[in-house]
This record gives sequence, structure tokens and C-alpha cells, in this order.
Amino acid sequence: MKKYSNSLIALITILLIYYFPSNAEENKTKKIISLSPSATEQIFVLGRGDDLVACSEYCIHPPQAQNKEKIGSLLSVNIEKILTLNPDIIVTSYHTKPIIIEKLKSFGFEILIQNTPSNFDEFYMQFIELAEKINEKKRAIEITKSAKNKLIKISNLLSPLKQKPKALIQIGVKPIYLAGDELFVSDFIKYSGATNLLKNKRSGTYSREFIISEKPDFIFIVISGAMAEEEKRQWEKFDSIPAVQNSRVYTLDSYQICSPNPIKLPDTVAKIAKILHPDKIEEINKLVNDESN
Amino acid sequence: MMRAIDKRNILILLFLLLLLAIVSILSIILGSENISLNRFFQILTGKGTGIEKNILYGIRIPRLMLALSIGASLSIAGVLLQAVFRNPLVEPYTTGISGGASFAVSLALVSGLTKIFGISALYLSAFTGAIFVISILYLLYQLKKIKNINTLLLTGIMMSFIFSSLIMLVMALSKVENTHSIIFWLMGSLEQSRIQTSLFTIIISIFLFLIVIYYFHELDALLLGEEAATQLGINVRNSQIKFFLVASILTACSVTISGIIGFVGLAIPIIMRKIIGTKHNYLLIASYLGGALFLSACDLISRTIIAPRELPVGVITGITGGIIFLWTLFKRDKS
Amino acid sequence: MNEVLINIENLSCSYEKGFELKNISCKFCRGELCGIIGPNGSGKTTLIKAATGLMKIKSGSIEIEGKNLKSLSPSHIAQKIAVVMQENNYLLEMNVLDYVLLGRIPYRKSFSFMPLKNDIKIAVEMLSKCGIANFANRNISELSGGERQLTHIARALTQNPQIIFLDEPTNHLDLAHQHQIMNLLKSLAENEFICVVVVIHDLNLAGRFCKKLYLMNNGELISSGTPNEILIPNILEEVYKVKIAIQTDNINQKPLIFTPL
Repeated sequence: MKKYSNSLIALITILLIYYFPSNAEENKTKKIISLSPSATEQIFVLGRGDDLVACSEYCIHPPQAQNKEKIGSLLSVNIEKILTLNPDIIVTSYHTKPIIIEKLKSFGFEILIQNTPSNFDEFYMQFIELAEKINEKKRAIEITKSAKNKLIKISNLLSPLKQKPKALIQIGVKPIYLAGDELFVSDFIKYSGATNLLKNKRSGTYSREFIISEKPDFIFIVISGAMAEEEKRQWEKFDSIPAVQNSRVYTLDSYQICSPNPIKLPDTVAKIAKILHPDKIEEINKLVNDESN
Repeated sequence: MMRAIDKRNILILLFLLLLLAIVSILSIILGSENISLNRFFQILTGKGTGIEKNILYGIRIPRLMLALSIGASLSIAGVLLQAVFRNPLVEPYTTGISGGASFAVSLALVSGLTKIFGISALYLSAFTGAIFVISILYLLYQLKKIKNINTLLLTGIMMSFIFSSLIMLVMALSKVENTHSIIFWLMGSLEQSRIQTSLFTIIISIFLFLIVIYYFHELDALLLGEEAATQLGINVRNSQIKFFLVASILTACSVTISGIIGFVGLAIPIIMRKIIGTKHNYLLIASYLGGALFLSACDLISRTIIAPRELPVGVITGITGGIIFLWTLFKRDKS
Repeated sequence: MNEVLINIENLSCSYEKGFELKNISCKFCRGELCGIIGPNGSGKTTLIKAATGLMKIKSGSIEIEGKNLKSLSPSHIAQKIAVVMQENNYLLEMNVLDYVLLGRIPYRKSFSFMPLKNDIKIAVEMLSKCGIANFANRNISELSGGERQLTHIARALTQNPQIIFLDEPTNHLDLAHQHQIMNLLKSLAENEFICVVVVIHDLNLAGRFCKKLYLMNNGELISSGTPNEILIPNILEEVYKVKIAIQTDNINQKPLIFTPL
């Protein structure tokens, strides 16, 4: 009797699953609009790229996003189009003008505002928050766990180092704008075992003179476009800087840094770590490629 | 007994009204989804879908109302200031009011007030900044600390420069996001979040327009110079203050709601003067209609010319305004 | 003697910069064309400004038709006194009739978008008096200097004033227009029975047309009287600081002033 009852329960459960779709699936958000490149990336990572009906012109990653309908640029958002598309949720970025957000709210749309995170933890929290709104919380948590694992491992390897290289993070040219520790981008340096040249100072415009006197070991230029190469050439004229002497002026893809893929973020950190600690390349590779918890 | 010149001017006004009607209708039916005229009437009588009603009542009509009223307000302000200062190069932003409003907005954005209080903080701070500048200039002139009307103008210009520098200071010291927000606000836009805002601007512009048209003869007298105007029986100082305040309020409301939209307040009065003459009874009406027509036409162009993208309306007003302005100059100077 | 329209007694007033009128006493009467003469900077224009209430009075008084100037509102003064100042650089682009109608502003009682029939009638009449009735539909900017001056006078006349002041109306005008204007002013004074006061540089014109002359220098009224009484070498030389010779024009029996080499 017991043997048969088990099978019966199994059969009934299987029937239930197939013929009565779960509530969770019924409530899955159908239509998403994203005005944030970061959010667009995250939506695809969560496997919901098909539900993205439109995004801003600046959402260029992943490549599939470029085929989506465009409904906005930095300056303007085509609200009429949004009304016609009638999304279930709209994700905005810090670029979106408050007046647009109010207008969209007044039409009754659900808005998720994704402001610039100030560190990795906040980034993943936002990722999970977004996932929750589109019913992919579980997946997001898994991704976060795995990513954070890798990050901790890298950090554990490199934090104890006594002699950390001094790194400069430049996020603007003309004028030179440097990133301090309160900005998101500085976490890439922190986790990679380097100290920020601007330690204890706020982000802002600084003079080249100041930077030269601080003698950074590494210079990372995080800007998109031709300006980055041009700036690198500018730096290479000042050979009193250790970073220039040792050819350690690098340009980084600002998109990867500012709108990172949640899964690939630790890999980017690893890449930077390998630049900063060439003697530890083997160890870092091992940490990143090891998938086991 | 209507003279030929009166008949001609009335025809011009009617023509402006006609153009205004055409542009208004186009603004309503054109957009990312074109609504045919038939459909428009159907929606009006309640037969539209939810989306169509939202687009019509939530976006197109309020935006058209805003374009009309702000275009009209800025033009009238321009006419008043050009008469008071007897200088055709003066426009609503010369007096430093927009500088005060912009600076207040930049402070509000940077201090995070807008995050706490939302849009209202922006409106409130812009208006406060504008009123602050108006009050200073008014008190200086009223209390005779500034005796000469031209000194008042120079003071306004200086305040404008000072605020520009202060705004750049705020931008230089603030976070990148805030710098962007400030720039976007400065660029001017006819987006607004509530239909009440559009209604408010329409009512204010009509109300103040009616007030100034009652005193159009004083504007004519001021054209002859302060002494000549006094010799025609006008209390010149009171007159100047009255028109200055009205122009300032119109400017303050416009800047508060839609940021800086340039060229309208400068060019429309000059163009209208060439078309309909300097007499202010006709000039005020022509400028009201002309400003409304110009800004709504420019807004329509900015929305449709590279659809579905949108250009900032200030770009269109600058380019088209400049062309029309130069054309009117050359046309008249041919003689 | 004719009725005194403006009575100025011991008037002293000044600009903040320092220039002042000192202790001026004179009377302007109906039916007379009067001339105010004197070197540049002697206070002629300032006197006109004072008479129309544009200057702060330090001491003395000005009475218009017996009433103290201080007690009159600007519109009341405008209904009594009209002024034609020297032309400003601001080029008016107005229609001539519209411009002349500005003279009716002091009489405006209530709002009216178009000019009142009566006002138009008066404006056209004044244009006729000045001989330029056919200019009504033209634009001021198209007119010559002399024609513009006539429109200014027409505008002043529509104010229906008892006194008209003109500040150097014959400057920059050719001979014909100079005489046309002076003749017009003289006939207005005598036929309309108003007082017309001109500030004038040309001493010969002043002597030929004016009934009375007022000679000013350094903010003071040096002397006043008929042209024959004032246009005398001694008096003029002291004021103008240049050698002066005077002969009599036999045709008009008026003094002719010139400077001998």
C-alpha cells in the first residue's frame, strides 16, 4: 500500500504542476521599459530580455538591446510612445528628469528608480530589487551569491598585502575629474587590493600638478571614446610619475565599469587585480575559474 | 472711421490668429501616434481608448497650452522691457531674474531638496530665486537708491553675470549627477507634470496682458523718452515700475515652469514692431499672438523633426527665430 | 499787457552735478513769440525743464496761470504746457497721425483701443495748421528733418496748450524750413493767442521773429526786452565774448548781427 501511495502522490503532484500552472508564472511581468543602461543589462542577465519592449538610446549592452525600440535619450523621453506601449513597469536612472518621473507616475505606471549605487553591495541590492519587481528574485539572489563569493575570495587574497599600489581613477577630462572612495567606481580598486590616490578626499576636479606630486603607481582612465587614448598620451608626457615610468597607464571600458553585468563584475575586478598584481596572476585566475562554493 | 493702417493691422492680427489655430490643431493631431481630426473629436466626446485619452489630455493639450502661454508671456515681457528701457536689445532674461531662478534651482538640486520634496521643491526654489532678484531691483529703484533707469538695467545685467558664475561654481563643486540635472533644467523644456500648471500659466498670462493693454498709451509715451513722457502728463517712475514688475512676474513664472527658453522675448517684439508698428495697442496683441504662435510652432517642430527623438525647444527657437529675425531686418532695410 | 501765463520769481534750481539756475525772474505772456538766447551751457534748456516741472526747485516759485507748479499734477501741466525738445536718437517708426495723437494723452479719460473721433479731428486740424495735412498716412522715419520738426509742433498743438516751449527747433534745418517754422510759430502765438517760447541760437532769426528776448548766461537771466533793446553790441559782447557788429536790415527794419573780422 505504501509503495503505491508514494507513486500516487508523485503522479498527482506531476499532474498538478502541468495542468495547473503556478501562480508565480501567471504573475510574471510581461512588459518592461528601461531608461537605465545598467537596468537593461540586468534584465537580460535575468533572462527577461524578451519582456523588454523599449529602452533608452544609451542601452547598448548587451547587443540584443540595440534592436529594441528606442524611447529616449539623455534629454528627452517619448512619453507618448510609453503610453502606447503600456508597460507594466518602467525602470529609470539618475539621468531621468524628476519631472518625467512625476509625469509617468501621474499616468499610473509603476516606476522603479535606479540611482547610481555607491558601492558593490548597493549595486547588488538594486539588482535584487529590480529582480523582485519582475519576479526573478531567486535567480538574482543566486547570481549575487556567486558573484559576491568570488569578490570575497579576491579581496581576501589581496587585502592583507602590506604594500598596496596607489591607483588613480580618472573619470573625466577637461577638466580632470577624479573618483574618490565614495563613488561606485572606486570599489573596483578597493577589491583589487590597491589604495585610491584620493583616499580621504572627495571626488572632484584636481590639477595635474597635484596628481604628479602624489606619484600614483597606476593610472586608470575610465572614459569612453577617443578622449581616453588622447588622455593616455597626455599622461605619458610626465615621466616623473611612477605609473608612466613603468607603463602602467590603462584605459578601461567605462561601460563595463559603470553599468556592469552582475555576473561578469567579479571578472572585471579580477582583470584589474591582475594588472595591479602581476605576480599574483595565477592565483587570481584560479579563484575566478573555480566555480565551487 | 477706420484708417487704412488700422484695417491693415487688424488683418494682420486675424492672420496671426489663423496661423495660431492651424499650429494648435497640428500640435494636437501630430505626435508619435498621429490622431486624425475625426478621431480627435471622437476622443473629446468620450469615445477614445484609455491610452488615447491619456495622450490627448495628459500630454498634448497641456503641452500646447504651456507653449502658447509661455510664448505669449515671454513676448509681452520683452515688449514691456524694451519700452521701459528704450532699448530693443533688452529681453526678459537680461534683468537677472532668470539668473536668480537658475541659481536657486541649482542649490535645490545639489542640496537634495528635490529628492525629499519632489518637483515642488524645484518650482518653489526657482520662483523664490526670481522674486528675490525682482525685489532687490524694485526696492533699489523705488527707494531711489538707483535714480536712472539705465543704471537699473546695468544692475540687472551684472546680477545676471554674477549668477551665471555662481551656477558654474555650484556645478564645479557638485556631484556629476547634479551637474547634469542643473544643465538639463537650464536647457528649458515644455514638459510639465500637471495640467494645473498649464492652466495656471494661461490664466496669469491673460490676466497680466489685460492689465498692460489698459495702459498701452503709457508705453507709447515712454518711447519718446523720460522727459517727453513726463511732459505728456505721465508719471514716468510709477509707469516704469509698473511695467517692470509685470514683465518680471511673467518672466519669473515662465522660467520657474519651463527653464530658460531663449530668443522668444527678444525677437518677437522686434519682428512684430517691423510688421505691425510701434503703437502698443496693436503691438501688445501682435506680440501675444506672435509669441504663442512661435513657441508652439517651435515645440511642434522639436517634437516631429527627428521623431521619435526630440530636440530641446530652445535650439529650435534660436535657429528659426534667428532666421526670421534676419529676414525681417533685410526686408525692411532694402528701401 | 497781455495775460501772464507763466510767472517765474527768484527761481533757483540745480542738477546734482552742480550746474544751477540762479535767481531767475521772468514772465511769459499770451500772444507773444519769445526767444531765449545765450551761449551754450547758459541754462536755456534747464529753464524749460524747470517750467515743466522736471527740476527740483531750491528756492523761488513758478506759477502757471496763477497756480503754483508744485500743486499741479503732470497731466494738468501737460494740458497747459507742451514741449518740443531736441530730437533724440531713438528713431521713431510711427505713423505720423498716430504720433501726433500722442498729444491727446493728457486728456485720456478711459480706455479706448482706437483713437477717439474727436481726437483724430483735432490731430488732423493741427496737421493742417502746420501745413502737413497730407502727411497723415506717412511714417515719421520717411520724413526730412524739417518735416519731422513740423510733426513735433503738430503734436505739441494737439495738447491744446496755452504755452509751447521749443528747444532749438531750427537746428539742422535749411533756410527755407527755418523760416517756415519761425513764421508758423509767430502766427500761432498771435492768431491762436498762446505763448510760444523758443530757445534759439541764431540771433538773426531771434531778432527777426521774436517779440521779446531773454538773454541768459551762466545760469542767470542777464537781460530781457524787445530785440532792439537786447541786440546791442555791448550786451552781446559781454555774454558771447566775441566782437559783434550790428546793422539794420532795411527791408524788415530788424537788427542784423554779425562778427567782423
